[in-house]
Amino acid sequence: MKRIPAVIVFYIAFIAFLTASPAYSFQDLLLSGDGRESIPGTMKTPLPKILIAAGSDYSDQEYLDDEPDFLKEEAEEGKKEIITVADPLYYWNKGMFHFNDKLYFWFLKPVATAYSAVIPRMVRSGVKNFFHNLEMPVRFVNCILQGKLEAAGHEFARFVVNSTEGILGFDDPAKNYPELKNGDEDLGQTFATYGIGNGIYIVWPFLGPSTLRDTFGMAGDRFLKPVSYIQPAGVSLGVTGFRIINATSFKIGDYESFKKAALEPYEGLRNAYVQNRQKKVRE
Amino acid sequence: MVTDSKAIVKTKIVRAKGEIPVDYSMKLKDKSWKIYDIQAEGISLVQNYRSQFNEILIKETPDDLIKRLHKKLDEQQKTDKK
Repeated sequence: MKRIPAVIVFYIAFIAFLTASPAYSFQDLLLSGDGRESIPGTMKTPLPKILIAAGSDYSDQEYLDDEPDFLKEEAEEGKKEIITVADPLYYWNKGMFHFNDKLYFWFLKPVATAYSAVIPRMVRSGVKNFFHNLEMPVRFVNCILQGKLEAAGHEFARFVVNSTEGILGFDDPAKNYPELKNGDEDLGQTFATYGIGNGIYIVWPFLGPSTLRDTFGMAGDRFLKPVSYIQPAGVSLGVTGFRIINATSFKIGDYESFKKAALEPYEGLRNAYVQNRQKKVRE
Repeated sequence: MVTDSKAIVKTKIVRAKGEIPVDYSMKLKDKSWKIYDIQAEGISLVQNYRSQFNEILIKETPDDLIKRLHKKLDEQQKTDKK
């Protein structure tokens, strides 16, 4: 009889492992994936223009004469190399993409909408700051592993200021010191600086897009996250779920506008993930 | 400024929670600067659409792609008007 609970605990721990990695979790990806289309006003105007450039009548004259050459020339210069990632798990990934899509529309979005109607913005903002502050060890250690000692110093100073003056990290007084940069280093990026490539693209249920490298990164970063050590595992999972709902309450509408602007949302998100990760690695 | 005829304009959109860096790649054409790409959070709009077009062109013809673009554009203009 004792074996059954052990199996259940392992299962919960496994799910908790998958879920408790918000350094670049599902929700962050929703933002990064569509940060671009979601910006109201600014983005709406340029977008149709680019679409027009790709194939409408009235602007063909203007664009078709030299623009393609010039874009090609830029590609050849190597500045705009097309970033791709191998996707041998295409069918699994696409299935999980749809799963996460439904998870958002059927569960996360309604819950986060209700939550943000009840809880004032100030409290939600504090919760977000608190969790961010709590994960300073992840960013700090990865700064050091990448040899970025100055950035590590910034992370440490931010932590000290926000944990004391900011009352356990609920407030963010460190933002008043712009020289203290707020980074987001993680183990996946550390691996990348050591020359390890993306490997293959993997979409995880609940977590969203990742790659083989970043999945190992997430697993490693878990050891530096206080939330992973909460016992029992179910509570740890609950805390992470709460964190995700809280974070989602700030981003309702982002994923919708991303989907609306995309022709192939699956490919769009895959490309956005890889591009965004590459930018983070460069930084 | 990257070269005489190309430049990158870096901006930041400040949202309630967090900032979004948005870079505009610009080209000098007929004495005026035109935007040819936008990069938000390091994600190039042109490259992102190019990857989507690639995927579509594997399965469909260029005509189909153009049809889909027109359809998307119509949809967006309709919702923008609302």
